Amino acid sequence: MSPALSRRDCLQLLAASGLISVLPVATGYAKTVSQAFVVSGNTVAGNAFSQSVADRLTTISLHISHNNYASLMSFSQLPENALLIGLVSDAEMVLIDAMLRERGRMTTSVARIKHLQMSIKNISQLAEATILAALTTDVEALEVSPQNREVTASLISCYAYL
Amino acid sequence: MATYNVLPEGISAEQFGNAIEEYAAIVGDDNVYVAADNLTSYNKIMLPVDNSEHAPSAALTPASVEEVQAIIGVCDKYSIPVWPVSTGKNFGYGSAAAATRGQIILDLRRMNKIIDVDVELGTALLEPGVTYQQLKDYLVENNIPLWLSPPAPSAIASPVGNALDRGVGYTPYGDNFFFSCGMEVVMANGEILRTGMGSMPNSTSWQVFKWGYGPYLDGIFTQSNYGVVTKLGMWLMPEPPAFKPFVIRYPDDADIVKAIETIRPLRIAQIIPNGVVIAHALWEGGSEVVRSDYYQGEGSISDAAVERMKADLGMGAWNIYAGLYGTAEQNELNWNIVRGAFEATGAIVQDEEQMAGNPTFDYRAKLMRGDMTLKEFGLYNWRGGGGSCWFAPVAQAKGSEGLLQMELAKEILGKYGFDYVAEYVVGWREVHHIIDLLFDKTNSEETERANQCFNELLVEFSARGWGSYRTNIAFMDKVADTFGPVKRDVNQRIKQALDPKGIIAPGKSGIYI
Repeated sequence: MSPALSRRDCLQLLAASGLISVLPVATGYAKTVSQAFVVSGNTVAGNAFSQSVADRLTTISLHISHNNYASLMSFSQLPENALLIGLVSDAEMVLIDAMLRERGRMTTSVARIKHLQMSIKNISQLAEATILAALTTDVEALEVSPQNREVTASLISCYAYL
Repeated sequence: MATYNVLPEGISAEQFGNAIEEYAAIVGDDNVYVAADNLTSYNKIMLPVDNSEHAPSAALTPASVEEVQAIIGVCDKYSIPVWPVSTGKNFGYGSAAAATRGQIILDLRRMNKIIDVDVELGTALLEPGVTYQQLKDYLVENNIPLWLSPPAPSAIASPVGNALDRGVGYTPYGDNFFFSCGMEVVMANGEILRTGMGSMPNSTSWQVFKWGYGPYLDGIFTQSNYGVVTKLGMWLMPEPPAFKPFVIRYPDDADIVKAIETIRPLRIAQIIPNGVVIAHALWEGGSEVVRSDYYQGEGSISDAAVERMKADLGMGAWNIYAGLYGTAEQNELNWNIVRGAFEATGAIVQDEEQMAGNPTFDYRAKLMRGDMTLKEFGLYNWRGGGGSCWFAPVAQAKGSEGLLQMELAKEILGKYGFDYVAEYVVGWREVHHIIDLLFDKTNSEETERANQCFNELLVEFSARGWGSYRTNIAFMDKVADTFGPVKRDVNQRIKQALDPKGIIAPGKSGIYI
């Protein structure tokens, strides 16, 4: 993988490979990753996001509900060096971060999107952008845009390395 | 030499590095967190302040009281402040962060042993890292018919931590510190104090008789920084033969007067024995739906939008949840008294049969029988943005006080464009007025506005004699001031006597050396 490739090129190559675990640390694009997980609420948007991520990376899907204790427990069981990519609500993010703290980790927010604005196409783009941010650990271009300033009913895409 | 992002005040990098080596020798390298990556999670707080004001220098996760003693010894040697947390899930009050920048977080989550549960006496002895869910699972797995009394978003929180912060649950054992009995405390000089009967070698009554001999000390280790509590005894409620939860609804905000006036005599007489919740519609609905479904305008949510939400969700302006505990015959007798009292005021009164299948009622009924739930985390979705700051003034259990507090809170919150997301919890003779100031922490202007709003709530409520029963790490000094200079001075002199270097949690409840 040439350093001259753009991040998006890298993403596409990775998507083609289907295996994040082959990502070489030396490229500086990501940390060593043993397994990738995608987490979302069991909603239309969440499921579409999980599917979009799964279309690009080999992942194991997790569902979370802020009202379901059992759904939290999986976050304390994730393997070392796992990558977690997610589309979650504020409440779910608080709980995920609470669980990850026990491993000295925390999610990084990538984008905050109004629930009502989400279309399947948007979700696919969001999934791609979130993967890109996770692999590059770079969220600079993906922070909250002015049109999404109104955060009520929002969902947050995020990632975390464990 | 290693570099550190944050250092304790007055400590050089070299000194800190030496201390870190000594901490690692005590707890092992894996239980010492100093890298920025590892510490960010301890600095994620939901309050309307800059997180950096509360950034830790390190975090340690000891597994035993001996390790805590040794850590305190190193802290004493280098004069490094250390901030104990049980599980650090005190969201809206500061999570796992310290009151001041540069402290080491003493994360006690690995101290998670259920040391003893006495089925006959209904007592437990717990370490601080035990969670409510862990204790509940233990009781269920061992078929022990004892109930817990957890706070609302409880499963991942610590019973010890909640009692030490004087939190409340919703069963008749709802005042969690009141129902604690006996502590083990690591003092700043490394000594271990066991309070109450626990001071006596071989005592068998540590968890059954609170007062011991001489001054009763347990209270000074709650909401304080006079020691590190490493064990706490708790009384657990025997499962009653019958439990009858019910809901009472009033249609208008001003009905808070009727609500409190009707509840008070029933609570004092213990006809209703549990911590009664009077949830406002925005609290009740706020944990189920999102604000933008009802209101997308400027400022506080409109009255019309609240009315639409109430109609959609079938809730009142005030929604009271309480329970009866005893034999079926006792409950039936008390039910007739309770129903009669409330119906005479025009309230809608419904019991479990009438509310069958209603998820909100089921959630409240669970809370009142000590079951786990995380439902109220849904409040964080109401407005979005991850900001939450609890304001918790206490008042007399009188309708007139409740009305005045509600009106003042709505006025101040409205001035700053926030919603009145609140509930009252009725104790024996007082009410805790719990207001969740929800804001978008990703928006700096709104965060600053929330800060100003909280300040004004604090100033205006205290001016009328209404003090906070508890507060968050960012406002501890200000709340301490509202209780007057003599109280602060006495607190400080106790601190100076017990912890002369001020190594344990400086700033907790506004207490320093």
